[in-house]
Amino acid sequence: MIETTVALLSLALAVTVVMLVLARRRLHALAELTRDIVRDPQRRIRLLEESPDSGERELARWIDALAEQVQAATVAHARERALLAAVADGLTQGVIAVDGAHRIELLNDAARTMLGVTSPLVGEPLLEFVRVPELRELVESSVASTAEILLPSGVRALVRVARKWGGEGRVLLVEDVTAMRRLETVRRDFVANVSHELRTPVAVIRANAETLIAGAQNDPKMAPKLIDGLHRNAERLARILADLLDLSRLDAGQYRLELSPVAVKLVTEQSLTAVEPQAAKRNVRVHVAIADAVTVRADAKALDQILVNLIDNAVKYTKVDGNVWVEARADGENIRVEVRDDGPGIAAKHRERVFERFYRADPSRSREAGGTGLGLSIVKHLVESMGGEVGVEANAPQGSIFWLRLARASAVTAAA
Amino acid sequence: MASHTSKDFETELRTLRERLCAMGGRAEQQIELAMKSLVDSDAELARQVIENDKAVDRDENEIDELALQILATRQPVASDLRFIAMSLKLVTDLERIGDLASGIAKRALELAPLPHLTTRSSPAFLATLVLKNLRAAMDAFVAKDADSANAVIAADIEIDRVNATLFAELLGQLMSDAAAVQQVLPMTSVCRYLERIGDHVKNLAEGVVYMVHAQDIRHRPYVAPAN
Repeated sequence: MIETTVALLSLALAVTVVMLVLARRRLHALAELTRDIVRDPQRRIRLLEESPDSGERELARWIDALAEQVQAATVAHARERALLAAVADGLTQGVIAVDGAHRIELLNDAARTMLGVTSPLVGEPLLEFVRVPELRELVESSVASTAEILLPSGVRALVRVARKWGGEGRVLLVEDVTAMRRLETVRRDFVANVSHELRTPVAVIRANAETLIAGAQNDPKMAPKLIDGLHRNAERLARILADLLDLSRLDAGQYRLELSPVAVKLVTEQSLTAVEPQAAKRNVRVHVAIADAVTVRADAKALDQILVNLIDNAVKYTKVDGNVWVEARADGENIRVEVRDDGPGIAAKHRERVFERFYRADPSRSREAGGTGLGLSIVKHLVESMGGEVGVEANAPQGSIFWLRLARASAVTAAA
Repeated sequence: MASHTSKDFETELRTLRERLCAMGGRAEQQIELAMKSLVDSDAELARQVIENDKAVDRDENEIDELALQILATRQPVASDLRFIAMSLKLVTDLERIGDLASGIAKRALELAPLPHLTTRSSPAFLATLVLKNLRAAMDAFVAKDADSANAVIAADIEIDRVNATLFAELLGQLMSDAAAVQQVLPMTSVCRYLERIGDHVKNLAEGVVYMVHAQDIRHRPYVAPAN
């Protein structure tokens, strides 16, 4: 009896072991099959269509459905990322997104330009890369805030921490306000200068007129002096107003320019007649070195006005007994005209601003010389209206070079 | 001991790194603005730089406190300990750089009403070299790059050379025109300040090498790499 029981138990154990081994093998085979059909879509399709085993067909069907879902999600995710990048790169405003550890998640084209970088920088620690104390305070701030900061690239930026995302992440909107701040300075200076420029002659006219009315008109010694002052200051006001009108017409595009081939030498000689009295008074020698054939596409009257302004300035601001050189030469497809002097020159910090209205590098000296403060501004407008460029640089060893670049005329036909 | 796993510790280390970077950025800005005030004779800007130095001093106190707090509460070891020890030294150098920038602004304030010296552009060149080296040292710190830090140390030789040339130029000017003494003396101070900023930048770079390689290279003559 005991022997029979032992035999039966042994048999049961043997059967269980065999079944376990078989089950394990089947499981292993199933795992391999799952791996293969996940990796190989073709095998999945073959199984789905051809397998005699209904279990295998069922498995393939489920995995196929799962694969389709994953693929659809991946495509949608990639599309969303591409859309987000396209939208961000299309913005003129800089966009920077950082995660909770302040690592860059997104940096659009505008932000890259403002930071002066070319690489995408994704994954880099923003605050270690852009080392600006105010930026750190902004990113750390728990409330949405805005600050104007100077980036290491020299860009003045208005940075707004727009919102939190993904827990501790932040989105920063960066706006380049360098040009705007510069314009504000120019406008502020313009308003201050224009009132000063107009008030000075008006004050003289008023004072002289009051003195005359008070009885000086009958004083044979004083009256002519006061009337001369009235006349000179009224003339000065008229010049400023004429220049301002010219500028506003240029601004409004109402100043008609007719571009045609113009011989630079002829126009220069014509301009020289206007500045000769001043040159003779200060004993300044004007040297012209321009070949007859140098011809530009320009408006002859505007070019004359430009050259009169530049040569007159050079003559006025160079030293007594000084020299002024007017030269023109080919510069690629253009002609570069230079007016050089050997005067005291213009300090670097003033050079970039001398073309602004009423900007004066040396206020006392330029008023004394009789300028309206608008000449160079008119020159810049005229040159740019003719599609050219104008600038100033230091002359070696001393003095300034005012240059303009205009398109070379293809047909060499003198304008005169 | 295994490397730390605490998220709070990671955040504290990151904050310390970010604050050091921001202080470095402020020091760079102070030198730039001080030199601009000198070159443009801009007294208003010079006063602003002197006022801004308070922010650099505040940075020093706050970073010191943060580093000490991490030391006391986390008891870091190995590279973390070297980083914190180096931070304590780095803030001292950055604070001195801030003081020297403020010194340049004070000299700019004295020079603003005086006529320009013809050599005034030269300290600007020296400042460009010093600023470039300071930026490179901070970049090496961020990237934990000992090779770049060694390059910063090597570049200090050029700064010393330019400073010596400039100093000789200024002395020459004084010999030919004794009346220029009013401008020459503050100018020599500016050159000395820039040269000392250069020395502090070199200290920063030595700190980076120590942080990365655990190797103290202070007070050793610079030896150029073999290749």
